[in-house]
Amino acid sequence: MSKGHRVRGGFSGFFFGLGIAILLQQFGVVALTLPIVLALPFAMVLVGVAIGWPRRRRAAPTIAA
Amino acid sequence: MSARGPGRRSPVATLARALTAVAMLAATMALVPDVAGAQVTGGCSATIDGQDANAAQSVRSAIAVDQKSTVIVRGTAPGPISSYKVYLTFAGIRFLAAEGTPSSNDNSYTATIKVSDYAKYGVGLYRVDGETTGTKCTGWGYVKVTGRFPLTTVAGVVGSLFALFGLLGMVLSFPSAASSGLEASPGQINKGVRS
Repeated sequence: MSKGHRVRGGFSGFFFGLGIAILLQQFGVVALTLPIVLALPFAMVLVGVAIGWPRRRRAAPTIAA
Repeated sequence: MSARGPGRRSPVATLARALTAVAMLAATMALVPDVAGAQVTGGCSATIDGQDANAAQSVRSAIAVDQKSTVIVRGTAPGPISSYKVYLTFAGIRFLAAEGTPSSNDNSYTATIKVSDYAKYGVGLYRVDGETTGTKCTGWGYVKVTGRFPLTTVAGVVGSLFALFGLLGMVLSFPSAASSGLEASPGQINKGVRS
């Protein structure tokens, strides 16, 4: 298994989601209500954890004799 | 031939999918009308900058105000009002923008809000709530503060930094190529040669 960075991914996802939520409010796309403030960072935490999840190691290449 | 197997997705492709999902989520939130919450109720009425607050309860119908302007919030109740409060809501937190006590037996109030006091921190969409006591009334509407580029405000800078460093952190969270199983140890190669 390759080494993952789930915690880093989760934290990064949270701040990315929060930043996007603030920017959407600033540009007048959405009002920054409590559900949006909670939902978008939380959704991005899940995305961040998924990105940082360890990947399965591939099978070693076989060299024909 | 590519080093990646047929079942593997590149990190860039995965991130692109994730960002597409976020964009779709944001678009969905923008399209869903915000109909929750109390509207002007019980024979009460309210105006923000001369426009009916009741008609400004969706993002598209928000009342546009310039960042240098002064907004006048007027409320009328079916009976005498003992006090009123006007709030601005940001990120689910209500900030008191104005409060007062109308003259006795008055069934209306007028509150003045200087937009520039708040526009230095941020522009965009805000919810304005009005409440009265005595004759209890509540009403709200959206205002859209314009006249300043969003990225030059405190909230805009903070949001940009969060988004930028968050994105950077997510990119760095991909398992590195060196540890992703692309290399094979000598033992594994020998095993492959023997078989």
